[in-house]
Amino acid sequence: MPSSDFRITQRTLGAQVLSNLQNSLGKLQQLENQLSSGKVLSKPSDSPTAAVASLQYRAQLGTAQQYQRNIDDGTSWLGMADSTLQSAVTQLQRVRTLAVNGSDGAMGANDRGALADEVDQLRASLLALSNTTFQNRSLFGGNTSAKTAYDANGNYTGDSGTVSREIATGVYVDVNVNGAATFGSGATGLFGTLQQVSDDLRTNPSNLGNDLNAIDAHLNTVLGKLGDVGARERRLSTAKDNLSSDVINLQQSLSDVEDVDLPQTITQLQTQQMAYQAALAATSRIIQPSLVDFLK
Amino acid sequence: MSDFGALRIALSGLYASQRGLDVTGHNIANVNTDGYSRQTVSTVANSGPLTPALFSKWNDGGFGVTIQDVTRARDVFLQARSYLEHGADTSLKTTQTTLSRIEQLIGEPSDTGIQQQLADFWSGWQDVSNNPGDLASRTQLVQLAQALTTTFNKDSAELHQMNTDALTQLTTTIDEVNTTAANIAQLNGSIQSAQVAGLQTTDLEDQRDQLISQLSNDIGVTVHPDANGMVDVYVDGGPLVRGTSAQTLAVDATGPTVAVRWTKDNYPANSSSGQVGGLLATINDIIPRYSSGLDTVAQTLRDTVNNLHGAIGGTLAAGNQDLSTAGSLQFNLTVNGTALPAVSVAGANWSGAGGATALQTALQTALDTATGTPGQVVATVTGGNGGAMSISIAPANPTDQVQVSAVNGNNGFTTLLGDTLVGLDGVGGRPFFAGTGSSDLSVASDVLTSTDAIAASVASGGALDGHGAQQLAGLATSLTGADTLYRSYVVGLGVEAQSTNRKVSIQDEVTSQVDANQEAQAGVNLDEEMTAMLQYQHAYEASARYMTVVDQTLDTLINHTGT
Repeated sequence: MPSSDFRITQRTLGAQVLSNLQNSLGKLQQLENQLSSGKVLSKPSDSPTAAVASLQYRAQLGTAQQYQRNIDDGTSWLGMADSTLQSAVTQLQRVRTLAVNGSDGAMGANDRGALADEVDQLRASLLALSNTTFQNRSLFGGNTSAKTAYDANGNYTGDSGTVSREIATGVYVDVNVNGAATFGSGATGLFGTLQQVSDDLRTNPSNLGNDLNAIDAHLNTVLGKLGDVGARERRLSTAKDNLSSDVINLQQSLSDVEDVDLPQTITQLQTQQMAYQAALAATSRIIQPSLVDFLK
Repeated sequence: MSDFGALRIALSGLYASQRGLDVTGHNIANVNTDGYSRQTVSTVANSGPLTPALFSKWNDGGFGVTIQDVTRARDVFLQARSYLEHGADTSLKTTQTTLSRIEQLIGEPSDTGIQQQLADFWSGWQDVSNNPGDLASRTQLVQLAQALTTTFNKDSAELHQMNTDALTQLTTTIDEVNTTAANIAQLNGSIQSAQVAGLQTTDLEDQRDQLISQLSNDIGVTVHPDANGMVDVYVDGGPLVRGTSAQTLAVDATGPTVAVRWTKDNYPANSSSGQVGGLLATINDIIPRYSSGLDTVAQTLRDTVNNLHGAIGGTLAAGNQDLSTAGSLQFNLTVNGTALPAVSVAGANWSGAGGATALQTALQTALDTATGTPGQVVATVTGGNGGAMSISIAPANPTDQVQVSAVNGNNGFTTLLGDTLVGLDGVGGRPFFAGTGSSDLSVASDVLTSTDAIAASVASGGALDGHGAQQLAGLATSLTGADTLYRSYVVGLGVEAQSTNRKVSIQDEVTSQVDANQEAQAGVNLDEEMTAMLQYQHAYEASARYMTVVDQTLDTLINHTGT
């Protein structure tokens, strides 16, 4: 802008008016862009600090949403283990009742045989429970690629691998239940014990007292695992609640950084439009007169 | 003075006014001509001869007016400043355009930029970790990785294209500079001959100033006056135009950096001003800097992922050192796609007191035997002495690809190479990414051939283990990883573009100040011209009137005296 002691010429005036109109139109266009795209931040140079914040929020949002999915997946693993173990407990309690009934000295061999048959059925059912598959893999078999965790004789065929889910940066929660640690393996395992109960019912009822102790021990182990699963489910559920609020906060922060403040921008736009119209009106007045208009 | 001398006085007045009117008309006609400087007539009063001669002296007063000169209202210092500021302005604006194009092509922050794709890629690893045996999640990971590498390739190619475009533009600009320089030399010649002949050169000078102004936008020049109204034009300290001869410049793109050189002696003329300055900065600094920045991000991504995905190694707890009872350690070895005989280390060779040193020696001997090239694959074992030992196996030359896989169900393998990440096929040591930089970053061929090669499992964890993929997904939050690096790349770009934008607006302001100053000096003001026109009109009328009076006086003298 030349100061007032300058010689002013028609071209200076024209150039000035044009550059002012350009500036005004430029601001108008920027505001209209912001309004139509809904974003104040369209390129890094608009505000480098806001841009890097926006990138960080995006990355954090990505991981938080992924952690939510991990938790959902983990919860379904634990939920499956939970319901399977609950059934196992019910059936084990039935076995215990049968064993108690069988140890009653008044019962005849035929009656005990019937009890033994039911125990055999329950054993088969529990074996099926221990071989439950989830997401096309064995639920209790660790990381084995086989679909079963136990063979027909009740020997554990899975491995000791763990299945874990990342629920926060660097925080991993195991979501599987190891079959060997829950049901044991071989003769001393649950299925060995059940076989023993069945055999004792048929041939050696006097040993049922020992069997009852073994069943109680297994029941306690399974109940312990059930409690553990419940605790882990609660942990996941708390983590998920936290993540949900994290996600909302992150989305809010991202929006604060990137999105247009509508009332403010619309007000600015209207002010700018008025300024532009005023500049146009002024231009038509400034440009017109010169001495030529008044010479005859 | 003779009787008719008064008529001469009247005539000189008519001439002067006429010339004044002509110049005013010329000014009005050129009110909108770019680079036109308003002209003014300078007149001087005719006095008589001042040198006394013998028996002769001038007793009378002055006799009329002489037109001395038509001058341009132009300030040479302002002119020089204008060249300087315009050169700086164009250079900055060229830089600004480059940076804003890079910003456009990086396209951050957005839902489709590299940051988002990186986030998706790491999520893909989590999904594989959740379902290591699932073909769908593995295929999706490969797709996400390919989308990411394609974006890197595309950005790199566009940066390269920008550089090529800038080089073409530079060549065109230099051609323009050469033509303009030749025109200036030619105008210098015309001005010289006109001045020698005593002719007016104002309009020619305006034309030349206009060309120099264009030259200062193109390459940034300094101007020094020469004899006979000619000017010399210098670029980067060397004369581009001297009098009537012009030098030529050429673009030299053969070296590691692109340079502008004098055709006559190949000496560099690297102006930092004007469009050429901006383009040279674009070609030699800005684009290479952002290209290599992108390369670094791509290489970091490749290396951090490959280092986890392809590393072979494990730890051995002290309590397990003596594996002699479990038989020998055994694993299959593949070097550069060729399967070699199984590597076998007898437990007795290293267990017990020898520990790490003995195992390293035994392992190295076995590896050398298997590869047939001693030292091609190097085993390193550290620790021991009652603590855990850590083991790594790596090729001596990083371009060699070494893979290991378990001999079926071999316990020794999972213990020895427990930390190795293996695919569904149980093989470890394969890279996930291939390529040297952002331009050719790609998903490795092994992974493309079969998604089973994605190493989601830790060798010791079992077939469907997902901890390997979890480790890889953890790279998302690494402070030295690709994400962090990419963010600082984007913020660096933002800061540079923003500061350039500010510099441009400041320079624009300065340039328009100088232009306004110049226009104030040299521009045509119609009010002023109208006033001058009236003045000359009245002066003409008065001279004509005076001539009439002299005519009447002579008429009285000649026709009415003595009759």
